[in-house]
Amino acid sequence: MAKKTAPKEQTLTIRVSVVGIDSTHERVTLAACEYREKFVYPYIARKGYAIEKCQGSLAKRIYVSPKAQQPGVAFLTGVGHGFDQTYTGQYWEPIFQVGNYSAAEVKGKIVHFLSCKTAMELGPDFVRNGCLAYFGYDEDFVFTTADQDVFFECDSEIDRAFADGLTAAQVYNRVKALFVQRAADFRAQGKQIEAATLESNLDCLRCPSSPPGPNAWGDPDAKLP
Amino acid sequence: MATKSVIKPEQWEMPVSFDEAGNPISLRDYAKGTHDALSFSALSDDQRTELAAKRIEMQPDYEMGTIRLAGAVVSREQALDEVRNKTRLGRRLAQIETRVILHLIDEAAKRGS
Repeated sequence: MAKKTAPKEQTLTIRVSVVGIDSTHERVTLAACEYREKFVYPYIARKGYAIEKCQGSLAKRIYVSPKAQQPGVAFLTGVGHGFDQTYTGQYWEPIFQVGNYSAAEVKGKIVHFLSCKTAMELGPDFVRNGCLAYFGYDEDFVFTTADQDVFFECDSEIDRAFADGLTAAQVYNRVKALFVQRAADFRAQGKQIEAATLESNLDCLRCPSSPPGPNAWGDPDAKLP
Repeated sequence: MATKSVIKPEQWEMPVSFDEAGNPISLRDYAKGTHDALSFSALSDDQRTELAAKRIEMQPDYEMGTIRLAGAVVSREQALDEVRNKTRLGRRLAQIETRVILHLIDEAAKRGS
């Protein structure tokens, strides 16, 4: 009788990674991308995640789609112009559009886009296709250009909080607290419109634990590995 | 302890309502209660829109950035068009002014002008 041979096995370790998709073709997205380069990606990298970037001329669907489907990708984040059904990259090229992406690009992942209106339809569509949690805005994200970094800081607290290992619900609470604090800071300087604009953006932030329920933006317990 | 909200001198001069004749009423006059000011909550949607537009007109450095598809930086002139035409963005900008007004009225009341 032939002797049984144990199957040969090898364990592969896959680094958990974050894909950053940032357009830079005009003043607003360029400023936000520069902020993220300084204060977001280094923070995420320090927390042990690998970073894959599709920025500027690489913020195109042809580059993003395969990167998003690589093993180990857990988080998609970025800045780009948007509309209810579409997140765009460089020169407004649609990257993710309802009905025009593969579920594998978002399945099992957390997604955050600093973009206008994408929480209206694109975010819920991601969730229906297996995305764990979506963070975005259901109206235009607006900011006073003179204080733009404060606005970028509040939005990107989403990325930092996820990198710190918080759940989506905990991330929302931390982000909300920062928005409220920065609005109070503005008011203490007499910057009333800046404070109101910040609060208005917070009102438009949609994510698993934000109002209104029941939730269209994913699982409040979702977190990065 | 909550930080104090500062009202800059120019904010006292900006309109927060109208009188019965449709003349703008500044925060200072509204807080004094000496004019025939309509309560902000009594203003119609059109009046609130016009109030937002008047306030934006009075802010020489007004400039907003957005991350929407149709144009990223919104100048004061563009903002006025958006507000007066009641576009989706214009309504948002008007709501931001409304939020400012409500906060200022509340703060002014607390300090008895």
